[in-house]
Amino acid sequence: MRVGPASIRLPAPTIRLRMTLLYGLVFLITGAVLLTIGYELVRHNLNGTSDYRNELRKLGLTPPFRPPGFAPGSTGARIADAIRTQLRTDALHRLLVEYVVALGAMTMVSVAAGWLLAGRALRPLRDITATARRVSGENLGERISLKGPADELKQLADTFDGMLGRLDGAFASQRHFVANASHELRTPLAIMRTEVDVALADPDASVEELRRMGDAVRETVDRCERLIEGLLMLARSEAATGREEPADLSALAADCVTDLRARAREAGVDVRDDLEPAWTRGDPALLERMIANLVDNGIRHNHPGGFLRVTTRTEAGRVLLTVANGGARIDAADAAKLTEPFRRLDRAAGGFGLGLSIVRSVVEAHGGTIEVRAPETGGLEVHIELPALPRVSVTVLPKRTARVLTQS
Amino acid sequence: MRVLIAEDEQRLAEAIARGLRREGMAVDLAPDGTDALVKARVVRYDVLVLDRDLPGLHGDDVCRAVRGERPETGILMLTAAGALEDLVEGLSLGADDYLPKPFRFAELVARIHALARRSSPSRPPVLRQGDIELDPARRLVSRDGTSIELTRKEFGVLEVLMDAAGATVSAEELLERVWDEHTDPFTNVVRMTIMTLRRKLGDPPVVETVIGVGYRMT
Repeated sequence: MRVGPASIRLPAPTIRLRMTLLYGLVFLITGAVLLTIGYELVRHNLNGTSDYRNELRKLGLTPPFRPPGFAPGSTGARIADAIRTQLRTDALHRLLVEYVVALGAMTMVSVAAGWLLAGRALRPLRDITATARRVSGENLGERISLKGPADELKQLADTFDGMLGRLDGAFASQRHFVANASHELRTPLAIMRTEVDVALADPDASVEELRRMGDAVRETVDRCERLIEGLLMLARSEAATGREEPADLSALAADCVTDLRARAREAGVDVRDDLEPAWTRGDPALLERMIANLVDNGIRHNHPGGFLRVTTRTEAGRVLLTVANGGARIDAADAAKLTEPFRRLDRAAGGFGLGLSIVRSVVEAHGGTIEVRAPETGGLEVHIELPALPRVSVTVLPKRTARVLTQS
Repeated sequence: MRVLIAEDEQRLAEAIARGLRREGMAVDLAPDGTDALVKARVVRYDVLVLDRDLPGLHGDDVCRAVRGERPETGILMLTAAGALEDLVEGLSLGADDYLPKPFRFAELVARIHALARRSSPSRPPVLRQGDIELDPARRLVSRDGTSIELTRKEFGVLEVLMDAAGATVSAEELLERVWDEHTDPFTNVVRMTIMTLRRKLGDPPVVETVIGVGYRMT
């Protein structure tokens, strides 16, 4: 810690130093109190009248009741009193000096012991600090893994480890995403570059060859456009526009199904819908994209004669959207990973593996949950739950919207 | 020179193959890792152009296996991940060279030539046999200073023969190293090519037939 230039240079007020001083102070005070009590007791006892004749009797001596020359008021008695008082004062004084010296010495010992003990107790903290210092964006693999009893410091270290684990996961998935995105962007670039280089390297290239090259490049540009659109959509859905308005999933789903019915017929997919009103709150454009992606996936990754079922419901404060489709059997573990960006089961089927990750990020931006299941019978089932539009807000809504709501 | 391109991006693989064939190389394609490894085991490729991110068997595994079983095949890794760590990792797996996507085609060609040369260490960049000179990178052949126009296959056959430096090369080996997988193994293209090559190279004849064995340069 920095100390102002004008002030005297004190040791940094570390917890160790403060704990040591506190130990010392507590020891000093309790020691002083204890010694004071002891001193007072001694003094009190010394001042008390104790009959020396009892002590003599214990030794088997029977002195005369009053020795000669010690009558009260006699010179002998006065001398004896003076000696006794002097002895008492000397003893108390010596005791006081010894107590003070002993207290001082023991305080110093206790400060030293406190310093060592505080250092020992705080060592885990130093480890935690050192680990935290070493950890950076590139090196999140390190953990404190504090050994020892489950005390406060262990809890702190474990909490810190847990946080590092989550950070590591987040960084890793981000790195993964960037690597995938760069891979997906570089591949079409490589295709275009090679097509152009190869065509131009041939001085006698025919018009057909050049035209073929142009077609290939155009097709690849289309692919780039689709990819960039997908990435932008993903970024937009993650950023959650903040636009919030009541939206009925059943109406959005009905639109999507109508739009894609022709494609479904072409692919020989039987589309069934079972749509009950499902009012939620959110960005209608994103919610529509969510449903469109699911329906589109359901048609694309289906087999001829397969089915596609879209269901919406409202249940106990949640709206449920289920899109199920037939198709080849999918491994359950693979299915669960499908919402990760660039994850696709069949590269030949086209697409970049962004569709379901867009769906997931829309769902999460709207405070919902998504579950992807792979039934034994093949195909995929996606279950989405979103918070239902609370009934209260229906009354708060402007009259016109409220009327629409009650109608539906 | 025979090259295998292991690349799942079909359009890219075909464009590379087209370009390399025009450079006089015999090119085979493998769309996935498994196929690449099978082909690399069967044929002695001079260079394997290997995409790292292959479906089936990952490019890294293909690289490791080919490096172990075919030490003479030069491996050029192509990858869309251009970070330094990827480069280091790729090379440490046994790749001889590494080219991040997107690349310039001319650079790919130059690197393939360099790799093919590296696979036979003593081989100079320009091959000489008597008064014949052959420059594989620039695809030039001359005899006694006069340049000779050769087709790709003639050039390839001459390159293999000159590379053998007087040793006999069988017709099967010529077929394997100069022609690609689509060639009928019972064809007489090798004999035909040797004939036209002899004619173009002129007198005195330099390509000799070793009956029942193959061909060699004198």
